[in-house]
Amino acid sequence: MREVVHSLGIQTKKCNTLARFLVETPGQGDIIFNENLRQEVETVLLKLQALIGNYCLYRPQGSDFDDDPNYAQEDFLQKLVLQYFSTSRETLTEALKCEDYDEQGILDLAQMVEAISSVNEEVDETVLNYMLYYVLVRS
Amino acid sequence: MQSANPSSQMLSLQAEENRRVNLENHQLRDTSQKQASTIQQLQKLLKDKEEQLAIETSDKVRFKELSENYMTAVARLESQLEAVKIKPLSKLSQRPKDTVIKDQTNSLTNAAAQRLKTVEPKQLGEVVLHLKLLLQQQQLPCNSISSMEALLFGR
Repeated sequence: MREVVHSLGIQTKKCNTLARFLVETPGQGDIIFNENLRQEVETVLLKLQALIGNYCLYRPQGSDFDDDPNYAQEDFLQKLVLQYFSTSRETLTEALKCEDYDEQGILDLAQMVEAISSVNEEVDETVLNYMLYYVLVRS
Repeated sequence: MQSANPSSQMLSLQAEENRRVNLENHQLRDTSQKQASTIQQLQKLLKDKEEQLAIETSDKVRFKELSENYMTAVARLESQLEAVKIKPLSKLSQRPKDTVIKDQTNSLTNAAAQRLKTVEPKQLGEVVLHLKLLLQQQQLPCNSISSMEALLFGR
């Protein structure tokens, strides 16, 4: 399980935690770690689905999925992003630079979330998720 | 020359042996007292070091909190200044770099990592975000279990 999770690009230290969550039985308090514990695939998939919860997919305006409730319009979300951050572009840039400890021009998800939230603490979760998605698909 | 009486020779040897045993006892007692004294000193030193470590750990946590609060406050103020157009664009942020990186390792130095409790969903916030982004990128909808299967196993 840990190897499957690792192949998704999740940091090594987090792989173990997610693999344990998916395989171990919940609500046991303290447990003895068992490297060889097994779980049925269907149970793992259901637990993963419940963990991730609801989310929407993004499509540009005018696509075939305009009326599909699973999709959100990118144009609309981009307008929302501008509403939140158009007056603080420089601050957002600086906040992102401040999170870049090694000055390599690379940030992980947690650093991006921290930088964006530090500039506007009231940013809507949907908008924040879209900003992260926007960066991911272009990186 | 007449030889000494055997019984007086025995007494003499016995007395010699007694003196030797007494001397050894004294030496052992001295060594024992010295070791007890050393142990006491080391225990005192350990106690001092533990107190020092507790203070430094507390200071470290406090510094980290102050540093993070300070950075958040500066970001908020800079954002407000920029919004009302009074922030000079040429001036770089006065915020220091965030120097404290969270210890998320499984090392012995990370006290939190040693407690092996059941994993709670709240511990996986960043991972959930990562997986959600991957699902969105692959255009896999949330209402289907096959999306999770495709994500994990590529089916």
